[in-house]
Amino acid sequence: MVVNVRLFGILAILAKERSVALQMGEGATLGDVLTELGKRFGGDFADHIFRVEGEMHSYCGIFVNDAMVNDLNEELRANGPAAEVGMILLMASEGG
Amino acid sequence: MEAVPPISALSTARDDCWIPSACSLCYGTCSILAHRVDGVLVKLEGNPESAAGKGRLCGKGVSGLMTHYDPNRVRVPLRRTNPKKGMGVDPGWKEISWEEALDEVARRLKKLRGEDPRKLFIQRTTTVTSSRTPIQVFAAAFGTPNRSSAGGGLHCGNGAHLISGIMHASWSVVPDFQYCNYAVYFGASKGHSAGHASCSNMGLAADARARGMKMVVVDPMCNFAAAKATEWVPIRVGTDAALALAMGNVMVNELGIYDAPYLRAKTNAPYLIGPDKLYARDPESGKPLVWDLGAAAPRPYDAVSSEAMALEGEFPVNGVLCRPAFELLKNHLKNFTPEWAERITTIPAADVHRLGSEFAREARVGSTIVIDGVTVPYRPVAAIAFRGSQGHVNSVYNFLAVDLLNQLVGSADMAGGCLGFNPACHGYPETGRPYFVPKAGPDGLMITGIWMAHHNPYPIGEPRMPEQVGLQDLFVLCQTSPFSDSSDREEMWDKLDLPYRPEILLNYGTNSLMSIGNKETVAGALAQFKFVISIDLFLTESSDFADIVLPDCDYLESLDSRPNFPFIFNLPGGLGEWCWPIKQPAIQPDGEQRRSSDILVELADRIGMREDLNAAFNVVLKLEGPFRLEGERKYSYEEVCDAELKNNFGAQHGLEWFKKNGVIKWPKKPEEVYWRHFVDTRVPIYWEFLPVLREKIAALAEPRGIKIPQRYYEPLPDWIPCPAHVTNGAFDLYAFYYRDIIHTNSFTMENPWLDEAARLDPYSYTIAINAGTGRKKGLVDGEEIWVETDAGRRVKGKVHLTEAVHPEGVGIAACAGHWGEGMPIAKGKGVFFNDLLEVDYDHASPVNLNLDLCVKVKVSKARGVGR
Repeated sequence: MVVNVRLFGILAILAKERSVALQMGEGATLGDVLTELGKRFGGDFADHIFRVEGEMHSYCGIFVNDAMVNDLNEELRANGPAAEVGMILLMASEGG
Repeated sequence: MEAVPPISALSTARDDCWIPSACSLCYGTCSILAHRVDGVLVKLEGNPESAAGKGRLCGKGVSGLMTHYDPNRVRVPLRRTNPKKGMGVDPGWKEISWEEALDEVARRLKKLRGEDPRKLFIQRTTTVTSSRTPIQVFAAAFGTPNRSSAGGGLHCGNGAHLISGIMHASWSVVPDFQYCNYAVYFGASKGHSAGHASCSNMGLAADARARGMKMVVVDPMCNFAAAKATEWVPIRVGTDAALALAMGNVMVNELGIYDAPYLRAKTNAPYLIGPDKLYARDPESGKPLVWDLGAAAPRPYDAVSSEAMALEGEFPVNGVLCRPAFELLKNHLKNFTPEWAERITTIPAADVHRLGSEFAREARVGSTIVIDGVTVPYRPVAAIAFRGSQGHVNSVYNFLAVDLLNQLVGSADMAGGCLGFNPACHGYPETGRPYFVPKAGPDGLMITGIWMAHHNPYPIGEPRMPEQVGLQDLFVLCQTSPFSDSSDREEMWDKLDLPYRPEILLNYGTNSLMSIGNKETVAGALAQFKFVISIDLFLTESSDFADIVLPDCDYLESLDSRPNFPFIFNLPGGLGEWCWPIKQPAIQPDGEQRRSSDILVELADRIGMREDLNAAFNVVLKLEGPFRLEGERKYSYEEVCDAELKNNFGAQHGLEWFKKNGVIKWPKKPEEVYWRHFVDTRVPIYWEFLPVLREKIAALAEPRGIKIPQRYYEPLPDWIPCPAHVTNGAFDLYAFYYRDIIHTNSFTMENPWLDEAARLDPYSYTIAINAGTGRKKGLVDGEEIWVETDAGRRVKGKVHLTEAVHPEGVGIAACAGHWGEGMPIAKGKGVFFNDLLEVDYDHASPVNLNLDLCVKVKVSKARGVGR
């Protein structure tokens, strides 16, 4: 299955790429995709996604096929020819 | 209600309409009706159709007209011509066109983004609640992790919001006014001042007091809450944890009153703790173990019915004796006797004992109540804390110790108890949105479910070498950090190898020179930026450091689809109605002002990050399906607002519907308000993760010379003295500030009506000192005095001698004392308390970096002339 990933904000800047097409096995999960991205773009990129191994930062915003997903175990399904994943970080915290 | 006619359509008919919108004189953001006649706003009232304010509007809200029509507002973009920056240095403002201003700003931002987006630092005022979303979105799209709310957080809720999030899945806490019978306020004023759900809460609190709710206010000053309370308990500044821990000791160890079923089912009280202070864990699943009384064996917490969990005793786990967390807490509390607390707090031991006894007995542990046909536990007591109690180096323990009182008697988010502000919502009935409910996370502990707020204090982050200017990625329990402005920021950045330095500041509405600490320190930070863009209503003291000033529309000229969100504290807690109001323009600007949200969208396009902006809006607003923003398509901010409203409430409830109706509402259910009874999740009465966190932070920081003291990172709270509690000769008084009900931050001092009210008030612009203390020092009411710290900082003002302040206290209303020319009404009014504050690591909580907001001072006559 092809998974088209669109990276936004700092992720696109770190990856130096906006769009990534990944060939994933059937039954691949969101976690598999993120792990693959981490391998491709290196430790700094992975650190921006994962709080600890196997767990995303709470500020990692991900859409899969136009719906928000925050479960790494979510199995990806093709939406037409490919599954579409979009990712952006909302990491700047503040409040009063 | 009729649709609001635009002013441009008024040529033939008289313009006379009431426009539903939202106040922004404080972050409470109550719903308003703006009365416009012939193109002129003539009156502001509360909107009775909305739960946000419930038709009430405070003195600040009704005075908003005077801010709107202030002739001193910035009306055109300005560029500085004087390259030299500093306090008192004339920027040499020159009027420029919007095109010129935006072109330069966008060009610089685009270049910076190409070099390193982290070099952009964005800060915003907390006064305009709805500003959080567009600024959060802009920051995420740009790629910077550096965002701040200037004085907000540091002076507000780094502790309160953290712990309210972990313990109540919320941003803050409030008594369940409709059912509470006994509320203890620790340095809080909920329902008696501005801020969180201000006008709604004022009505609810008044009704509760009239109904007979006993209200005890623990505070060094008898002002807004205490003046209306059943009892004022004067306390030495910064010692709230000592009182709360001693009350807990009375409750648990003397009276034996606590809610064991609640503690077993809703907290980590039964989790077994080993000698290493950590959970005993199941070797297979890694889950914390409890002692199963039925099986007489340790089992994972989720494999045992709560009734069978031991709360006390000593049990072997793999040959190691372990104890339930509750037993450790119970024994820990024995350290805090009322007599000990008296020495720390100055509150007589008998009163400490009485307060603990009253709280425990009024809790009615074991009782239930039927509300709207639903049976829920009835615990009509609440211990509430906020800024005053947690604004210290001991920020976390001070707040946590107070909240433990609620946890011990099971009143957390139960009927009559201490409520998080609306942490669970099942959504508008037609769409099921917004939907958020807390849930169990790692180790069974609660994760917030808050809609859009992105307030996820648990599970806590993993400390790492920082890439944020504020070092929040190392100090992971911090929200707003002092290190963007502190006197030791460069030293901290050096030690921690921050790989860049901030270069451009994008400021929205803050006056950080007045809102953080002493002005010399903050001025040094402002001057360090290579370029400063400031979106302002007025030229403030901080605007003087800007290179470009962009004139902002005020709230009566602005539009937003979520004036009360993303935070959920602007709706009252308890039963009633959900409501979602909008903010819409009641009038067009009379200068060249533009809405800040439109400015940010325009800048995003000019920088070339529209697709990133759309993606960030989609995530933050949870836009799905047909309402998602697509690719690089250009949407106006109005279109974004329209998409959000339709996404949440259906296609028929878009912006046009809201402009006409102002607010959508639906009833709350007991299962939402008292969600904790219905949701299987736990909160930590024993913060097992704190010592672990400390080890991780220390491993990174201590080799670089930054001490991470163990004492602040224990699993059970303690009282730890502030720097001010160190005896220091002639410096014999504790100066502190309070948030004046008449004013919001430093902003409203420019409003003539509020200024007049403040001048009539005996406290707003004076220095309150206990009358007996003042007489001993030979002070005369009304004379000018100096208040001086041992660091040599001093402020001057008129003393007001009063019985309404602790004998050791010096109370000053916050954020007054403007000196700039851009706000002439505000200039010279009141006392600039923050100028007494040091801003550095030594004066910040080593856990959440909350600044210590009390300071040891001495006072002396300035001129010796009485009034």
